[in-house]
Amino acid sequence: MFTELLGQHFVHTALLAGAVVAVVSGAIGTFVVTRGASFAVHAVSELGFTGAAGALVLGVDPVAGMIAGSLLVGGVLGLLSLRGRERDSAIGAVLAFGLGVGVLFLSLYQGYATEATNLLFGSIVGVSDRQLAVLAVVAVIVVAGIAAAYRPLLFSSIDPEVAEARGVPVRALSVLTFLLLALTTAEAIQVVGVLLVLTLVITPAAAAQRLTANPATAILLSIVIALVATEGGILLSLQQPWPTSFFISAISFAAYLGARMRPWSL
Amino acid sequence: MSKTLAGYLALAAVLAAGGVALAATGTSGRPAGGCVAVVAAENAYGSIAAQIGGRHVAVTSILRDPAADPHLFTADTGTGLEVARAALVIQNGAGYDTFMGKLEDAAPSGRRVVVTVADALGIHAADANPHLWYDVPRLDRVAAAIAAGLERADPRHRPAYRAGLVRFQRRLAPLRRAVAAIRARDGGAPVAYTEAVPGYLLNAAGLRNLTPPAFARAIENGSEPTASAVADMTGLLTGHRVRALLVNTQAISPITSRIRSEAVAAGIPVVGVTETLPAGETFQAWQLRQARALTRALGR
Repeated sequence: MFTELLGQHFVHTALLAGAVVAVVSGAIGTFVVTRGASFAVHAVSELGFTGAAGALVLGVDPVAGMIAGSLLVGGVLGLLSLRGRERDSAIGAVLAFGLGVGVLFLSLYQGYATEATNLLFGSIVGVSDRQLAVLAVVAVIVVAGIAAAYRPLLFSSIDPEVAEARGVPVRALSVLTFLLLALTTAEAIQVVGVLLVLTLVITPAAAAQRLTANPATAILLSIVIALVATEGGILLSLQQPWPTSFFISAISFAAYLGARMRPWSL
Repeated sequence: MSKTLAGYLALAAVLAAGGVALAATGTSGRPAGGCVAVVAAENAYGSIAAQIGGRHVAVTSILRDPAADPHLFTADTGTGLEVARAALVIQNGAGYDTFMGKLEDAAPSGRRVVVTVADALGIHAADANPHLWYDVPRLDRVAAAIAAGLERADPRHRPAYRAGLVRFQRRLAPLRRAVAAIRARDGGAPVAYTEAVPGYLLNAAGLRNLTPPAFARAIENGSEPTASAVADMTGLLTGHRVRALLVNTQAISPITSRIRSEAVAAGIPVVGVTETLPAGETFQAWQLRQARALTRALGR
């Protein structure tokens, strides 16, 4: 069955979609982890679900609603440009209210809400050619955004106080980071689902930062770990009919554990 | 932008290009072992297709576990492969199995025939009750649509499918009689359900459904019913305003369990129903068993 599966169009699409999502997740993840904003990833993805539920109520495409929800929350979190102790509690407050709104949307919706609830778990085997094209376009936007503002983005992530003192537009870069994160999250949701976005955006970047202090190398490592996790996870789920997202999160976590246990760095 | 990073991005682009080249070599579904490969999203339709198609079809059903909540279903690679191979796909539509459209789009095929039961019955409203296989008066049309799909997927065995359709429709007679008997004896009797699963059956049997719509919808969508909906629902039971409670045993939650105990405490008969056909039963035997359980409950 494994070889027959490897010949299937939907498996190729899944592997490609996984690769595209892994590259952007691994790249943006490094900036998010450097900022210490992992919790924000969770907020952005959960509120993507709220956006999808809102789209159902309005009768528009749930995926479009999810992207809009993620972007809105990403923009708000970026504008708040939160630092230090205040950040976690502020994100928690935004996240909780957003989920409450999601619950309201679900109850307002008169029909069948499976399209929104399906987003919680992702469906990598159901990616169409059109969706793959959209994923690729969004990925190009995110990678271009990172490349265009690479140095100031990194500077403001590593040391926002010094960057601000040197005249770097810290707030604008914070908004940019969170908008790029929102786009990435909206991509990753379609592969691993709302509940497991952290496994692609945070875990590989966190592992990479354990292995190297060089930011460019960290981005590369993070991308490689995310790629191995998604492609490996999809291939394993062809062998063993367990959810793909489980395998992806397991490989990604194994990489993180391995990186933590290594006493030296690259 | 640093040189190293530019190098890495170029590497990523090369990897992606390799993936595109791999994807260009796709294949699509084929019938297995001389039989027509049929995939039914719900095993109720799978049972109907197997009875109509007989030895000419090999039927696989996707939602087939009456102990699992179909709303929590996620497609795995095996499901994707089944859809990719199928010559005929039967799906409910009406938002019940949106994953099917995604699986079909992910595995494009020019030869696959898709029968959507909601389309065959002309059901397009966004808030329509999607449990169409409970619609006893329209099962004829459901079966005819499935038979027509088989004829299109495998024109060589057209006479066999026509005969199979006639045979299956005869087998529905006991179910129709049971439903007609409820209507004759207990027509107009008030009942309630935890979810709209048996909604069409209750209509066909002429029973009056008093369930607060907000309650059933919240249970169905796994969201939280409002306090007033729960109060209305509980009132139906404690006030003895219904003669039977139909419980979807496939989606048990603390609220449905509590509603069930309220009914038991008030001496109101509880009838368990499932969305999915239990293993080892035919579609019509399952529906007949549930209709008889409803008859007994109303007789108490």
